[in-house]
Amino acid sequence: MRVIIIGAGKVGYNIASALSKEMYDVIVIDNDEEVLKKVDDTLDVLTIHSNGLIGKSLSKIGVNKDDIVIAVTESDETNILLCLSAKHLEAGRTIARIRNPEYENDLSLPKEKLPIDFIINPEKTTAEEIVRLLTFSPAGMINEFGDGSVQMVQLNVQDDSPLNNKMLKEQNNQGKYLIAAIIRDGETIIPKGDHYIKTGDNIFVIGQKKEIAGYFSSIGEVPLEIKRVIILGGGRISYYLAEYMSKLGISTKIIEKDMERCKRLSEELPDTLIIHGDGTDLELLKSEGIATTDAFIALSGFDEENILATLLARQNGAKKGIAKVNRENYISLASNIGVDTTITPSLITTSKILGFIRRETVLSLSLLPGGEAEVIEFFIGPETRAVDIPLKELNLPEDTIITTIIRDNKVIIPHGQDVIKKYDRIIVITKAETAGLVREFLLGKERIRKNGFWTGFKNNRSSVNR
Amino acid sequence: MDSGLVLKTIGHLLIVEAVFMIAPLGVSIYYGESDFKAFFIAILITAFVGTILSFSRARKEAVRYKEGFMIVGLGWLLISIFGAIPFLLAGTFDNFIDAFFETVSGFTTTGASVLKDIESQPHGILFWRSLTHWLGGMGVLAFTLSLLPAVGMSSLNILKAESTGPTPGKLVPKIAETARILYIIYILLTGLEIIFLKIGGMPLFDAVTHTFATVGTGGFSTKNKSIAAYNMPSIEWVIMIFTFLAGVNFSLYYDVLMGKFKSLFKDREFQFYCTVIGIAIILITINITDSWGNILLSFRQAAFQVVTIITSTGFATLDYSIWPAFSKMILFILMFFGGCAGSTSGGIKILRVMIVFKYIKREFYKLIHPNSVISIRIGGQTIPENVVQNVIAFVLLYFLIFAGLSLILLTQDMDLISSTSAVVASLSNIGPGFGSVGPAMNYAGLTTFTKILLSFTMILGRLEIYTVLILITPIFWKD
Repeated sequence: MRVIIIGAGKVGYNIASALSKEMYDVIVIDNDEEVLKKVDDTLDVLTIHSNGLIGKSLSKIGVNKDDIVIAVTESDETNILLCLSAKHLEAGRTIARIRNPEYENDLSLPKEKLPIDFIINPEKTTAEEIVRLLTFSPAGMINEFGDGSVQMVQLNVQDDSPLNNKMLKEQNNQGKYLIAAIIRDGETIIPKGDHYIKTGDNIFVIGQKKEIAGYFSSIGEVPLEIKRVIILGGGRISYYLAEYMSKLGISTKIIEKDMERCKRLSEELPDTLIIHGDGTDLELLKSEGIATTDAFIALSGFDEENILATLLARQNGAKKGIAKVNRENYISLASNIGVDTTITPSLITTSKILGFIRRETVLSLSLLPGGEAEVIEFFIGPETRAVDIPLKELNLPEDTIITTIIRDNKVIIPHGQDVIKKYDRIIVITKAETAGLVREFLLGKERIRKNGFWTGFKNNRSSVNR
Repeated sequence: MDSGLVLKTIGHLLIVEAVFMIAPLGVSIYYGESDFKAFFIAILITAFVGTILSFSRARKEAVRYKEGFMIVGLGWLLISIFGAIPFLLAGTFDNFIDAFFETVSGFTTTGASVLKDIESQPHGILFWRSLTHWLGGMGVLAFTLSLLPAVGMSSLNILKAESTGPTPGKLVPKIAETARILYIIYILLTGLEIIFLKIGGMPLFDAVTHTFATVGTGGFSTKNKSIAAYNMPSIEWVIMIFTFLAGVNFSLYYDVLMGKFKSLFKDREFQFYCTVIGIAIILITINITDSWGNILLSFRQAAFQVVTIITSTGFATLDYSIWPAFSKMILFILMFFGGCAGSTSGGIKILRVMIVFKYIKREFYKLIHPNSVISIRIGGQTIPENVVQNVIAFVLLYFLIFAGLSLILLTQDMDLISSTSAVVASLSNIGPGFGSVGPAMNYAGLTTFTKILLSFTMILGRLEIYTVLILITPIFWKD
């Protein structure tokens, strides 16, 4: 199956990186040769420089009904047009990134008439993610599985945490939740029972929703009740977020530098107080009551500003700080210097798109920060070969844990002697490079190429010119 | 630089080479000749070193430019050294330099030989000599890549450094699959030629060895008098046609196999390639018919020599040294050309020549319209400006190296014609030159120093200069 990605930005690159490690043949099209060079150097994908004529390159490579076209260029209009022409060329599925909220409303045609099968609005999705984070404040990141019955929650281990230097086994003992992953110094570890937790680790706890809340209060992480929020920066995420906040009845202030933008926001958001000023100005923060603020959310366009402003706000009394960090390299750095929570829109977008692509077999999917590991929810069909075998005898690929089994609406955190049954839903954590392997393994369909020497011809009936 | 990754890949490369040595081992056992011991020991040594190297621990990183250049440069040097072992052990040569020269000449598909009496050699050795052409033509590393599951890592930089032409790329998204497709086409071409040569009246062993030398555009023959030994027009025609085919960009064959026949004839490089060959054949035919009388014979000889020289093969059906100077000069010019980009041939490559012509045309145009902005296009495809500059520098470098090395060879007791033609014949991977290295002579009489120098010239030419030169520049080794 071919995946054609148009636009080799952060999202395009991340999707290409994840899919190229699996059975997909990935083609990346972009106008910028420099960007393509980077893709060429690091990923096993085909890159096409389009000379500005993306539509032409699309028809040249001969899109067919097995192909998935993902339009993630900078421009909404281009993305819509590309999906339109891809559908015209009979592409199987089309995905577009559309940022402008007006377009999304205008595109509310009946589904079968819409040329786009999946629309992703990164800003809106990010805002939803932040709302979820605020509802459970100790968490650095929350992902839901099994229609919300299972959660995976990230926690940054502080100096004074009782978890310090504890062995994982002691924490996992009740079979109700499990520490599924640790991110330490930017490296993702899928731990075994004898790992120790250290200060500064980001741990990912997975389990039944209500059990997790109980676990967190048992280690002294009590959720805050969020009443007052200050948002730095008046971009699109802030707009969506403020809208959600006003629905939840939370008092919200947005600090924005640009006067014109402030005026526009004040027209659009009647329930939100818009403040014209510099969010890194301590006097301004103090006079706006930073000391009594429950959450400070930095969403400006600059990573550095977001990180520093969050630190400043935390130091001056804000109870929780969330910083938007676009560069993935900064994520671990930010958590090391005390920013409790970071969000990265490109990662959220990538996991949504990957989830959609794999939706036939995968119910939901999320990427851990840094993109090194994936948490995947599978549905176990009747003809799977992995059923009725004790998990410890299953010989799963390395760095893979079956974290949860959902059977008849009951959540099981399995032990080695537990088995997977037909029609279960299971949640697996694995490294990105083995994700494809794990899926083959658990779903047991013979989709691995048997003789790659010839499939090169068979699979590419329409070729690509030099 | 990730030296673990470099050593690991080279380890795999040597194992692949050892596996290929099994073929000549089988041949020598079949013919019951004594050289099977030489191959047996050579396989053990190569496989042993390869296995040890393949255990090197690579950091989990992609093959970047530096690793790519290092793997290809060092890899080619090592396969030549290990490939020389059978020649030494079987007593074909009494010294390492001759054996190394012959192996390099094989892998780089040059076909320049230092072997005085070819026909007295055992079959295994002759088979290995020809097999090196076949392997070197499409690239040994490309073959290794097609076998390796390059999970999560792009080895495009290896393929780029090894394949020919200014802008090598992939045919399909996965690199291993691209390498496989190229090899499938290569194998198909090989199979076809063996069948045709057999029908044309060649013994099977000769058909196989000559096919290897043809599709790899090498030029080693198993006869002292090369193709002239058979004296059969049918064989000459088959070899001529397949030599021509081996000089075409292999991605065009992929298009044809996919059902896009038009793209073959629409390809500007292919058109230019045919035009150059056509003009050269006509000029030489007219020029030599005077002295030969027979126009059909003249045409056949002219066509064979033109095709074998422009594709950098270097088979001989006659000693063209006796031709008039005008015809010899045409061949000399063709020696620089080479075949199409993405083929198995050597030389500057047609595509680069076309880019240089278009560049010159643009410079003229700019004299009249100084403010014009013109992008260079080949067949509707814009050539990026950095590629154009790279090509100009490449061609310049080609001639500088040609001039410099010719000068050095003149100190080694060679005349002007012999030294210049020996350099271009090595640099363009052709084989025979003029004068004392002409088709009727060989390279055996040269000094040891000259042989070493020309060996490196061949690798320089095969890997298209940059890959080798970058390894000896100080910038490469600075971090």
